[in-house]
Amino acid sequence: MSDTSASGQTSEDRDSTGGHQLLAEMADDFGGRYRRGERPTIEEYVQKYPGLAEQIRELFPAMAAMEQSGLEPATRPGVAAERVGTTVGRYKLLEQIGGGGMGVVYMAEQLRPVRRKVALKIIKPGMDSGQVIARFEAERQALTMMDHPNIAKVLDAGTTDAGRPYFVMELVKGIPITDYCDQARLSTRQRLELFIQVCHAVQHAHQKGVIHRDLKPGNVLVTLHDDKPVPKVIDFGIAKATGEVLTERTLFTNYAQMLGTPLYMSPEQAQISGTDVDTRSDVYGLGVLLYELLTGTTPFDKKRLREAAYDEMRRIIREEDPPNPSTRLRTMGDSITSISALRHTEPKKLSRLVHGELDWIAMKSLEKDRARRYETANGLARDVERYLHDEPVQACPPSTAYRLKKFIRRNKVVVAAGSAIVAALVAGVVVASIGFFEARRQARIARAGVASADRSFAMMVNAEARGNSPQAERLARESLAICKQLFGDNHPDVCESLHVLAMVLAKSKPQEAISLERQSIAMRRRYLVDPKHPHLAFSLDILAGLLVRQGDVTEAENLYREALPMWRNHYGSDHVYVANTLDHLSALLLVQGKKGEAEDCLRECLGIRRRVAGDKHSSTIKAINSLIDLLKQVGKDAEAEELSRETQEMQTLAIRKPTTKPQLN
Amino acid sequence: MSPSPGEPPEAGALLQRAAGGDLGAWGALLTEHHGRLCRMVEFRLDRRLRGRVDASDVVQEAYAEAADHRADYFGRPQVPLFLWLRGIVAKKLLEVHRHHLGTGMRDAAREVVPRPRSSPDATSAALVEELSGHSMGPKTAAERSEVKARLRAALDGMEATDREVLALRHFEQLTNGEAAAVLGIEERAAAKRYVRALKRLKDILASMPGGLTEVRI
Repeated sequence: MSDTSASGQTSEDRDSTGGHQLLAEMADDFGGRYRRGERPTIEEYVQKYPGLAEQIRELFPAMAAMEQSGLEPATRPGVAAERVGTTVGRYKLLEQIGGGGMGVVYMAEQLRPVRRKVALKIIKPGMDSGQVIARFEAERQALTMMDHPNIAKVLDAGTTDAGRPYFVMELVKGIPITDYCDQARLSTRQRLELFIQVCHAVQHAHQKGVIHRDLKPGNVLVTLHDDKPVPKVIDFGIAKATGEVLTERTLFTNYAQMLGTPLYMSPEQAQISGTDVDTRSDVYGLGVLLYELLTGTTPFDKKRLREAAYDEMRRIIREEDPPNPSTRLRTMGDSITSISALRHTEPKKLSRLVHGELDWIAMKSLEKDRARRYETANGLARDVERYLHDEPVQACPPSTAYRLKKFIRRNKVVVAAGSAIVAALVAGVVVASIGFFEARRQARIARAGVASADRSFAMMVNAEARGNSPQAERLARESLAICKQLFGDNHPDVCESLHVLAMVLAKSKPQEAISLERQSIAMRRRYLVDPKHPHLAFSLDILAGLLVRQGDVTEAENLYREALPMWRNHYGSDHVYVANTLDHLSALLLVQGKKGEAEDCLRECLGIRRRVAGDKHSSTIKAINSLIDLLKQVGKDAEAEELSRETQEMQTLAIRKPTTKPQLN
Repeated sequence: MSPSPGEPPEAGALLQRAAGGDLGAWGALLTEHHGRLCRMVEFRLDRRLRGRVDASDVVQEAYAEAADHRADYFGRPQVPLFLWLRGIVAKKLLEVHRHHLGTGMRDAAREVVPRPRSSPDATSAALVEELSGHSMGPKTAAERSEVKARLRAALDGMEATDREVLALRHFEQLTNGEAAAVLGIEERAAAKRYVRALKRLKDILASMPGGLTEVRI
């Protein structure tokens, strides 16, 4: 280096390279101590290095000036930590009981005015304690108003001698709710009962104007009171006092330690500003907790969020929809074995249990748009209660399928009651005979109702799952079994159940479906009360479809031909069922080379489509296109041309119409 | 010598644990360096971007990138962790400047990249900002305003190399060794450059009315 000093000759002589080095090291030391809040004197250094006394006296004031100017309280690193045994304010630190992203928690002893044990949380360095305390003071009034058995009270706040903010809370000797539930192997129902208490606690706080903002298992501890688990929500008011720190600074400051937080962070908290938070953010937090209680996992994958870049992580929270809890359970692989064991059940039972209402409740709480969440924590609690009481929950749009399922549930209870009476009789208990017969009659009605509901629900589930639903199969089989038990082998309800099961199995087990539908048809032919009723036609149609897929064209053709007059009789000639059957029939005829008959069917089909659905409907255009192909095959090119011009026109219209916007000319 | 701010006594153990994949240790290390990294960004960030870009956001982005390359770093650490992180922060800062201010800002942004060819105005502008107390409460700023005003004037009159080394040492709070690494010179040379700059600063301050008498130590 050609670094030469430009100052006077004499000082240059004294400044050996060693002198520079030593002075630079002294500056390191001085700077370090200064930034830790110490105020070392120049004379300390002079005494230590008398050989450099003159330069120390000369240079240290400039050094101090630089330090003073550059010092910023907010980012001062490395403040001395408080230790067990020392006293913070009125509290003596007894034992460290936890350490999280935000700070260290001690069990402490309050010395005055009363002697009691408390939890004392010292916030990590890196934030302005003045601000934290000011925010806490702003909320203190509200915090003291909170009085709920499931909320740990925040008692006090202050600043340690080293300038770090601390909070004093009611001491809760508990463990995180998720850990407790697993350790105690609570069933899903028991977990939900605990969860409801948590919701009520949060609701109480909301009514007092306090939002938690950082709900997560670590902040919901379970303690045992007389062997009864009692959840306690801790840290109310602290997230607010430490403010944006949660969403912005601390998120990466304490990178790994803070991992808990993004997992439970609501989409609005993951916004860049992250400050527009209301009670519904807590509803989201409760939703995450519910999800975890149900599935043992958080909605977003811990590992994925951890590995995602900061912005990506925020994007995931704001935009991605987590899978339904039951989907998560079904797709988690082997872990479901242990997760279901911890809930006293089996994998299949667990995902079946969670599927449906519990899915809906959790997903409604986790809606990205908070306007679509439960408005209050109580609303969420009530829905969970409804679930536990087998009442319809709010979380789902009240579709028919949903109501039916509830109906089934309720009737099953009646069924069980009926069975209990029968059992009592058998056991020799005297029951008034009227009561018995009435009970048995009601039980039969109820069970028939169950079977019917099962059937309807199976069909809907099947349609929803596009013909591939184990749940639909289970329901349909159950319905068939009940009907056979109630009515014997020959009964219209049994026919119906056979038919429904055949439809449900059409995709997954076509051979069995064919056999079932054949049974159903055979029974319908024998027991049909009203020969014009289209029940048989439905069965014929399904069997024909199944046979076509098996390649049995001839029998399928016959079945469609048999169904056709039934449709016409029941629904009239211009009906979509008639058109559909004609459409199928024409295709089958064409395959067999019967072009003339196929053309007739298609023309009739097209006519119905035009009249029923209109010229521009996709089914009409499809029929026209089929007819065009056919006309070309039989050499009627001119008519084909004309039809194709018509369709082109209609297709352009159909395409243009919705997308064309008014031109501003 | 007491440990430098970047290397607390437990740093060695933490580094070992972090290298072994312990995320808690990694987080603790980042926490240790966070303050200085934020200072660096706050100090180097173009004043036009203040209010638009948050220093901690820049640092957080750097952490995300650091996390991606953590294994590479620990596989073959060539510089102390803090300097490695500072390098990534510098890169992010450069990207931020490019993004917001376009290529016209490259010269100023290059300033923050390790081994810079200092462009005179960059440190100077940043120092002015630093000394104008943008991130301090009004009361604190008022208390320091006298010394600050003089410092500002003094630094304004200095050469870029002198200003840069003083900024690294006191505003970014780098140790001599770290400053040497950032400047791409040997520690002895860095020490010499620093002491020389300090001396010049003292001389200028001493020649001003009031001098350094109000600096309490």
